[in-house]
Amino acid sequence: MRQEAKALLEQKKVDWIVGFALGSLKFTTTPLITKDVTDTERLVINPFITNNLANFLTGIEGRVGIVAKGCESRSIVSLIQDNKVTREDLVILAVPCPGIIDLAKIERLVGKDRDELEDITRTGDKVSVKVNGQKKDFAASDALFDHCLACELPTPQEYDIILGEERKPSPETKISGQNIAKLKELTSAERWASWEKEMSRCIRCYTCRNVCPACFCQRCFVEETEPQWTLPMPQWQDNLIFQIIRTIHVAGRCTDCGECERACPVNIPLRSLTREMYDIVDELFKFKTGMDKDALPLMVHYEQEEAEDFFK
Amino acid sequence: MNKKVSKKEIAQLLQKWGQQFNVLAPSRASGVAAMAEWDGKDTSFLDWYRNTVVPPKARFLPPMEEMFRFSKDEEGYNIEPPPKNEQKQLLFGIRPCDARAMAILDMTFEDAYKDPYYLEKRRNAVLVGLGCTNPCESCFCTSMGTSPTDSTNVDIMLIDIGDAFLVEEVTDKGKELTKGLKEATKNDETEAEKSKKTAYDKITRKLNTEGIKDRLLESFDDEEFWSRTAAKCISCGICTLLCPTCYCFDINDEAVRGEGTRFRSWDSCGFALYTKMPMENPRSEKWRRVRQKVCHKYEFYPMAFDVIACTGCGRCIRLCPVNWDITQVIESVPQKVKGAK
Repeated sequence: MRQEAKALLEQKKVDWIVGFALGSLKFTTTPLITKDVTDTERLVINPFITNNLANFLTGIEGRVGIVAKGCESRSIVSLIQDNKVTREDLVILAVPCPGIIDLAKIERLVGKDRDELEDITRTGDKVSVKVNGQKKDFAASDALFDHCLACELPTPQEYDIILGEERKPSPETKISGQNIAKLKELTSAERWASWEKEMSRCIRCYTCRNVCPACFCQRCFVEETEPQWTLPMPQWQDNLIFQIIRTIHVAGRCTDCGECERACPVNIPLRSLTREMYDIVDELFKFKTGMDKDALPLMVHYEQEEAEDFFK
Repeated sequence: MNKKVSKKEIAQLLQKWGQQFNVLAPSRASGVAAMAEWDGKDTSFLDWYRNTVVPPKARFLPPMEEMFRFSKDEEGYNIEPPPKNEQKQLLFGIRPCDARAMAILDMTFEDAYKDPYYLEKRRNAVLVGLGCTNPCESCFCTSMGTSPTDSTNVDIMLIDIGDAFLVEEVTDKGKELTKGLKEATKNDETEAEKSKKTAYDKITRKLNTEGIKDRLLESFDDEEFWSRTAAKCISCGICTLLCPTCYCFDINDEAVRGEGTRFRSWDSCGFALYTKMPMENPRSEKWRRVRQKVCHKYEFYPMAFDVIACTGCGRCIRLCPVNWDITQVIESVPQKVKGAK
């Protein structure tokens, strides 16, 4: 990957490389956005490449060589469909992705904070955690992000260079959907109470929106003042309205990359909203975001058989 | 003379203080670690607590609060202040970094002007510090004028000595709290010193801030540097809203037919909307906002109050979704050659 990226910059095939470098804390990576050939030495691929790098594409001018996992590639395709980026300006370096390790799950499994762990490694179906000199093994299905467990496209479909062997979709959809299934078992009053609690701790940092490649509006509706769709104060009702509208706005663009939930500093289970929307879109319109760059975006496309009853 | 309290007696002590104060302690009941009303029995936080995600400033400058109510009639507007908040808060377990942050906030809300909303809560509060035994990888307090067991900015300070805490009385308010506690022995004092040293040595992240104010001043117009620094920032509000020393707020009215409430709520210089004016936005570009955030803490605050508005709590590093690390940024601020352009 480093050689490929270096060559792309040296041969002036791209102006920028967007990939991952090691982060400043254990088990973290950080987006590397660079024009500098020597920086390509710092590129890494490991089980902690959490960010969805497609998010940076709309902010970069020029041609970009981008490292992309399956979910990123789908976001890129979605951005191409929406005319936010041009395919010709991209060189996609595809990473067949075995799933990303969820540090919050590891912390719960081990009962220790991430700082206190000596090592976390992934081999096949196992994730091994070294703590106090002892190695503990866990099933990958217990240690990966929920969204990775339902990954339908671990290997990008759309790419220029592939780094590694293709991978099959993850079969763990049941585990992946556990939280949503639990919510569905509740009565609507209980579900309302549950969301009231979750949304009460939202601080409106808008991280969920800002890490999301599908949230590319020049001006977000929450920033509108005439009319004011929601109040900017973090009261739970407005927080909920913000999330519901955001979820609807990204319908057909959300690839279930899980970044909104992962990045939320106050642990709001946002994916329960976005994944449910993703499934509804699939059920109603047979549409899976970012699978086909020549397809029309969901919201500009209409088929007669989709007609609502009131159209007839 | 220092006092001592066994860990088993903490619940009892909090119950006693609870007769006089609204006791707040680290809690995860809301779904995120924050200082919250103590439930009267649970002290399990003594095992899991390293620091809260939501800084204790939220108890003094809440994410949102009512400023006043207003109504309009033929004569004009009537303003009704919110009911007086007489509640006495006792924050149990505040970390030295966050206690120092409160002292830094006081400079703005008490010294620069008198902020009635903040001061009403602050003056009625007692801070019970809890020294760290297990600091985070992101912590760098020892580079920022404090330490994991610094008692400077609290009323009393608890230092972990195994089965018990050594209790240091710092203020007169603090002395009132420790009445009835046993006196610490010589051995306890020795243990406390050891505990302090161990905690201090665990802070491995270091930041050299020497000359940072001048370096930032000289690099203010270095667009290339700031653009590079800002490249991966996504302009979310985590590092500001959850910073224990950030205090910016927005003001909004919620009004229906001439009647309503004025609120203030946390705001962030990381947001483009923060400086948006009808005709222009001086910080519409991301690098200008990132520069503002860094300079406010490491240049402007030192200019105004002679102290860096960062206590090394590490929240911004640990919680950042893209691992934008303030310590790396500060270290990379260019050293310009004097006189050169």
